[in-house]
Amino acid sequence: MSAHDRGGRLVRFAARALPPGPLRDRYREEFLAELHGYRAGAQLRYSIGVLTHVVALRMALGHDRVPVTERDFSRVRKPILCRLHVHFRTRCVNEDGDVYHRCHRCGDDQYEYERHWDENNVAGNVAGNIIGGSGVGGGGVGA
Amino acid sequence: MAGPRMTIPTQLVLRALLSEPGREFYGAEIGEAAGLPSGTVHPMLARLEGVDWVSSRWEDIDPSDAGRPARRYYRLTASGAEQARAALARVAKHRRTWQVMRPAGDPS
Repeated sequence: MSAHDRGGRLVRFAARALPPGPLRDRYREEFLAELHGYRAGAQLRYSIGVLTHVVALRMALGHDRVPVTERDFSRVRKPILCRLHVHFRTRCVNEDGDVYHRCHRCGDDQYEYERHWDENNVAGNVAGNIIGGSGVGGGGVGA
Repeated sequence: MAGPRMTIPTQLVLRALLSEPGREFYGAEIGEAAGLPSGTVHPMLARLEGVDWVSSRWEDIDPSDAGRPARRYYRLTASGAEQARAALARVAKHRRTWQVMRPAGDPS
């Protein structure tokens, strides 16, 4: 592998630290074009320079942080018990006077007419009632 | 719009660009003129471009004819050159003030 190939690989690798899209393409092409002007030894030095400063470039471009909305949504995960249909519901009434039960952990709503025994949430109903106590437990055993 | 932080490398880059304000330079050329290692120049140029002190464009060549890829050229904008001169003057003035205030014989 020639020095130019090695330098090109390093520069392409460095560019991968930049946000994907036109900015990454632009800087990759720019670095490769500048690399072309150097002699073999200097090409490797240039590539290493680019590689070691690519994080600074990313910060300068304003992509050092994940956007707030993206970060927040990426952290929102349904609690494990809720994923197992073990909810911790409290009784609520909406503007129309309909009664529903909202899980205070995952925000899942369940209306009165949805509360029935079925094969899928038996365990959740029982466990929710045991853990959450009466009035908080999931599913509503007697509903 | 607030200007960039006038770090010493930023000052060197601005001085290199101000040496020939109307001329376009490519990144590596700016690095050589400023005496900075490769890779350090592009983050600074990105900041300067972000505050509109510098503009850039792709070189208008046919790579197959030129035998090399097109380079990205940078130049100071008219307002950028003005603001850069003012910022460098401020830094120089601050430095002079500091040297006057420093007690004689103080090596720091």
